[in-house]
Amino acid sequence: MLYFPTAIAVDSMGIILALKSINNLWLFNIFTVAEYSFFVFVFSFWQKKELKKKFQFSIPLFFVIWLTIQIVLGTVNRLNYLSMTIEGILLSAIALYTLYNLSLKTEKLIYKDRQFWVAFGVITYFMGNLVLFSLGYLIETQFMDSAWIIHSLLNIAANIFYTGGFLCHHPRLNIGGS
Amino acid sequence: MSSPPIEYWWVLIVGTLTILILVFAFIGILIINNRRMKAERDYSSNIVNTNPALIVVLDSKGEIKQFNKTCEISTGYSRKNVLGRNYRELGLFPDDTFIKNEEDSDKKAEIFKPRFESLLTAQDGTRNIITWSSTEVSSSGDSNEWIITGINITEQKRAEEALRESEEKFRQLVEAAFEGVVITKKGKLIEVSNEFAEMFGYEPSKLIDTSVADIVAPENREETLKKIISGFEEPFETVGLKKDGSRFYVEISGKSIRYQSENARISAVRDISERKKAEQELRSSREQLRNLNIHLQKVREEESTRIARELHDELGQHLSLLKLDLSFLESELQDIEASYEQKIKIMKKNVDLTIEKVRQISRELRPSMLDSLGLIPAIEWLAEEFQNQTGIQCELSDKTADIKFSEDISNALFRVTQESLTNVLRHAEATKVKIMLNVSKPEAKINLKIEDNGRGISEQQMTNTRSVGLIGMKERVRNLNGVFSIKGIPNRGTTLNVCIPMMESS
Repeated sequence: MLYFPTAIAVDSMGIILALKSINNLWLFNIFTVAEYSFFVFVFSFWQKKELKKKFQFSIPLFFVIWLTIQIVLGTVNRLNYLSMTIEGILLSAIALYTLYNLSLKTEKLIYKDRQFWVAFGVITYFMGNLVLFSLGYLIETQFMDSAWIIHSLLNIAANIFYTGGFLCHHPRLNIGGS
Repeated sequence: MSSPPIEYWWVLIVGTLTILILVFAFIGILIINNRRMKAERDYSSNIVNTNPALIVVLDSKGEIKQFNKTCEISTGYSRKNVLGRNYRELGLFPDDTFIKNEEDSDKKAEIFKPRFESLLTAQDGTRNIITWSSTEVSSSGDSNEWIITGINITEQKRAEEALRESEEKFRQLVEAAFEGVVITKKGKLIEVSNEFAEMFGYEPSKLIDTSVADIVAPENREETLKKIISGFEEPFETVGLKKDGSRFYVEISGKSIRYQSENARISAVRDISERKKAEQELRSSREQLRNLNIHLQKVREEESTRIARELHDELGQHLSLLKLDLSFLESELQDIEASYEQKIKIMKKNVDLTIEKVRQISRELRPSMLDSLGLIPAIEWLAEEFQNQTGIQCELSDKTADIKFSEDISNALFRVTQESLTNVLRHAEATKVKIMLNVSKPEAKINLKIEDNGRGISEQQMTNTRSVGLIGMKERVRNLNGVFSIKGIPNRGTTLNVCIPMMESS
């Protein structure tokens, strides 16, 4: 629940800054850390104790990597494709692992669990954007602007999947039936 | 802003699509696999839930993972409420269920007992005895699970207890019985009462598994075993064989039963040695009485014959002489007074009457024609005399074809006829009597039938022990191994039948 107001606030602020012709890339750059922290935190809750701690331990580790990249590459005022790519790989791996574990549980069908929809959204978004982010790191920035349309489509798809998670959470609006 | 080169777009779109397709394919496989596993799990759950046994699945910490419908019914707990809870909280199993693993110290310190029983108290207070068995299975996680299966044996235990009590009562009843009681299976003794063992001179335990043949006299074994094995249920007698080899009479009455789930036979065995002895004594006493009766009858017949002869020969002769003397006196005394003459005539008349009376008494005591002419003329004379004296019509039908009967038969039949006619006169109020005599040749038997048209003898009269006449007739016939019967129909008369074998009696 916390993620969505934060995401809306960041996007709104980004638009406002863009309209005032102020560089807003630093905002999205910082949001990368927050986004990673949020998702890892959520996924860690769905793991067993030992793994939960390991997942949560990856948050400061990612922060250190992110910080190192910022310092070494000096990309605070630019989109940091490298840290975004790393974030995408890590979160996709965590989401895939969660999905795999979920598929082994047979109490209910996998798509009737909110974990599925959240993981599905995360995988769609981050795996889908992986090519974009990695290319963005390798290719000139001017070419990337028009490619962001793919990111927007994936973002919409991910948010739809997250909504599925919300519906699963609600006992009466349980997606897929009972 | 310049647009990116076309290769860039190709890499971007194809790369993104490839990754997404791979991701979706992976997720699709996960969904299919999950659905399959769910279906298998539902199938297993249905089997577990419809199973009449109690099935509980615990994880290694003792938390309940599975709790089937039978468990819900037996404990009163709902599945939802118990899942995830520790079995100790619910008191499902006894405290000592988890035991130390002594078999393999390298493995887990504690394991579930493979088999145990517990008294399970449901929420409503109902108590059930459950027998459990546990199996360790490897689960999907890193730790193993325990599948514990229980069967409600309360009814079985109750039935066993009831059966035990029943058997105990039965045993007490058997021991309390005055008769010896034995249960046999396929001709072997499987249970004996103390009374039974004592009867045969054994210790009860020594008789178990002994064959029935071992305690029956050899000459009776075959028949006794046949009756026991065939399930003969009527009482029968046989000769028992004691441990010391002595024999004694026993009466056995048995019945087929189910014992310890098998066909068996329970028999009450009674020592009837005393009864047999008493019967023997009674038989001997009867024989003696019969012989005495025969002797008395013979003596009486002889005495009657002698008296009749004495009366006829001696007294009759003297009276005849007296009459001759009176006749002589009457002829010699011509000039006597008329009063004396009259007196002599009266005396002569009295002498005649006395002679006639002596003859009659003599005939009744022993008709001389029975000895001189035989049975048929004697009965003919008897019938004629009877008719003349009583006015009751008496017919004789003789179909004996002039056969000569022995003296015993003649005496018996004559006396029976005589007694029978006396009874007709005294009790029957009849107007007609019919005497029929015939011989049935194949059997060589003489049949006497006397029937009247009187009021008919009653059942009470027939069985009256004071009817000496009837008893005498029966005894006479029985002494000759004959058959005597009498039947009365109210107001239609009485029929008497006598049948005597001629060969035996002669």
